[in-house]
Amino acid sequence: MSLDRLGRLDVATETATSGATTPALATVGLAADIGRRRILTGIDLEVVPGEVLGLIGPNGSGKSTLLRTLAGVRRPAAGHVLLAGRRQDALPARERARSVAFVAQEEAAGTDLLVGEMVALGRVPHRGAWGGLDADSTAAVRAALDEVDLGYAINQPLDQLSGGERRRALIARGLAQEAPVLLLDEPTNHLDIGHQLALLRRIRALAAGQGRTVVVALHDLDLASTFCDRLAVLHDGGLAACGRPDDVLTPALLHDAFGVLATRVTHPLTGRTHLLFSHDERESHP
Amino acid sequence: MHSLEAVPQRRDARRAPVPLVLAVLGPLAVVTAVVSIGFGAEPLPVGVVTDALQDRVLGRAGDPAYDAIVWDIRIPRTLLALVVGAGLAIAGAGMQTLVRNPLADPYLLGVSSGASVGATAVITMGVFAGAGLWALSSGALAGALAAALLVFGIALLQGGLTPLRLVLTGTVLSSAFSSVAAFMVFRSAEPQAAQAVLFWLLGSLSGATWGQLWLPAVTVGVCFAVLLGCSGWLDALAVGPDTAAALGVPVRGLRIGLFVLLAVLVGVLVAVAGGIGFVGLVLPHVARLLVGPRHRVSLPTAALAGAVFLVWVDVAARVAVRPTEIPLSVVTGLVGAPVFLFLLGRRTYRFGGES
Repeated sequence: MSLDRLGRLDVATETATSGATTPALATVGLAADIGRRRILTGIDLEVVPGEVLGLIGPNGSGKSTLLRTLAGVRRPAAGHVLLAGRRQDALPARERARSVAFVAQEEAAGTDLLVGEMVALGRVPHRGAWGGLDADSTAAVRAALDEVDLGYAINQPLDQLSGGERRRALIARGLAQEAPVLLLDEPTNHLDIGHQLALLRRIRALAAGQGRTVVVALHDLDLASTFCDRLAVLHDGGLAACGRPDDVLTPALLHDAFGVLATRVTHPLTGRTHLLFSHDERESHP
Repeated sequence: MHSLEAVPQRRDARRAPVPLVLAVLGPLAVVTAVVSIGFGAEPLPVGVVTDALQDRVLGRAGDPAYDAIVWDIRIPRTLLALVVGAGLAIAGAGMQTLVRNPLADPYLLGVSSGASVGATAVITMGVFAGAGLWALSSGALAGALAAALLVFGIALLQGGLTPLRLVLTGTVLSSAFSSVAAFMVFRSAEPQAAQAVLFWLLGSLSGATWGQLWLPAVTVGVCFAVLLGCSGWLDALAVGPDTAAALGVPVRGLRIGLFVLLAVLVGVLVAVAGGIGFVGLVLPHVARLLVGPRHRVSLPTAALAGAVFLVWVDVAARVAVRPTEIPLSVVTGLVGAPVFLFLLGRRTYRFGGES
C-alpha cells in the first residue's frame, strides 16, 4: 500500500489551499447531554468538502454522541450544527437526511431484509413516506452496492452476510442516501486487519473521488492517522485537539487522553511514521 | 476488497414472488367468500348461492327463502369476516412494527381488555341500554378507546412512546382492565352474564348485519391506505428508531400517529367482533415469511391472507358443533398454532431476534 494509493497527501494539500469554501459540516459551540449529564461542551469543528475527519478519543469520550448530534438523531443541548452553511435544526427532517447520512455502530442485527432492501432504505429521504423504488433509486442502490463491491449480494439476506460484508452493506445504505456528508461510527469494528485497511481505503476513495465529506469515529489511532486528513480528539467532555494527524498525535496528548506512553517510529519500508504504545506504570487505571 | 475475500457462494433469499402471491390470494378471497356462504346451520349448495347472488344482481325474483338466507344473513357475515380478518392482520403488522416485537398482537395496547370492560358493563349492568342493538358495540368501543387513551397518556407522561414502555404499560393495564371486567361479572346477579361475557371475549361474527358493516369496512380501508402510504417510513422504523431518524423519518410523530391509528382500528374491530385471538399475531408473520418484511408487500399479503383465513375460521365455527356456534378464538388457536409452527420450521426467519 503506497501513499499515492491512499491519496491522502493530495487531498490534504488541497484542503489546505481551499480555505475559502463553505465548510460542508461545521459546529458552533455544540454541547450534548445524555440524560442530565453533559457529555460534550464547546465543540467547534469545520470540515471542508472532500475531507476525511477522524474522531478519536477514549471509551465514553462522546464520539458516538457527537456523531448522532451531527446526524440530527439527537438534539444538541447548546450550539448548533451547520450543513453547508445552513443550520441543521432549521432543515426539515427529509432535507436533513438528504444532506447528511449516518451509519451507526450496532444496527440491523436480526433483520429479515435483503441486502438490496436495506440499501434501498437510503432512498427514503428522496422518496418520502411511501418510499417505493423508482428507476433513479434502483440505479442509486446498484451504484452504492457496486461502490462497496457488494453487487453480488443484492438478493441475499443481510443476516447471512459476514461481519465485513454487513458493514459494507450498511455503508452502501449511507451512500445510497447520496448525501454530501457521510458520518460513520466505528466502521471497522469487528473486522480483521485486512478488512479494516480495505474498508478505510474505500472510504478514503469516496472522499477523494466523489468529493464526499466523511467524519469517521475510529478506535485504532494508527489507522486513524493513516487514513484521515485531520483528527479531532475528544477528551474530558470537549475537543482536546484538532489538526493534521502528525500534529495532533503527540506523546503528550496521547498520554493525557488515553493514559498511555507513545513512541513515534518510522516504518522501515514505507518511511511513514507510526506509533508504538506502552502502558504507563505510574497511571492507576489500566 | 475482492482480493481479500472470494465472493461467497450463497443462495438468494427464498421468497415467493409478490405478484404471484397477490394473484393467488386475491381470487382466493373471492372464491372463499362465495363458497363460504353455503356453509351454516342450513347448508346450501354452491349453485343455490350463485343463483341467489345472480338473481339479486340481475334484479330477478328468486326463491325468497334462499334470498333471505344468502343476502341478509350469510353475505354480511362473510363480508364482516373478510373485513375483520384483513383489519386484524394489518393491525398486528402495524403493532409489531411500532413496538418492534414479534410477540405483539393488536390487543397489546390494552384495547381489547378495555373493550371487555365496556362490553361487560353493558352485559351485566345494562349500560348504554339506550343504544339498543348497538349497545354492546358502543360499550366495547368506548372501553377500547378509553383504555388506549390511558395507555397513551401514561406512556407519554413517563417519557415517550418507546417500544418497551408501550409493551409494559399496555400489558400491565390490560391485566388491570381484565380484573375490572372479572369483578363486574363476579358481582353480577345475572347467572348468564359470565357465559355471555366469555363468548363475547372469544370473538364472534354472528349477528352481522349490513348496517354494522360500513364502520369496520371504512376504518380498515382507511387504515390500510394510510399504513401503505407510509410503508417506507415503517420499514425504516422496523430497522430501528435511530436509523429511521437518520433517514429523515419523524420518529416521534410516526409513533404517535401509528398508535392513534391502531387504537381506533382495533377498537372498531373489537367492537364489532369481540376479541379474536391469533389472527393479528400470526398472519403478519406468515406474510413476512412469504414475501419478506417490507411493508409495501407484506401489508397487502397479510390483509388478504387474514381475510381468507378468518372467513374459513368463521365457517369452521359455524359447522363444527352444529347447530350451536363456537367462539372464533377457539378455532384460530387450534388451527393457527400448528400452521404457524409448520411455516416457521421451514425457513430462516429472524424478526429482530437471534435465530
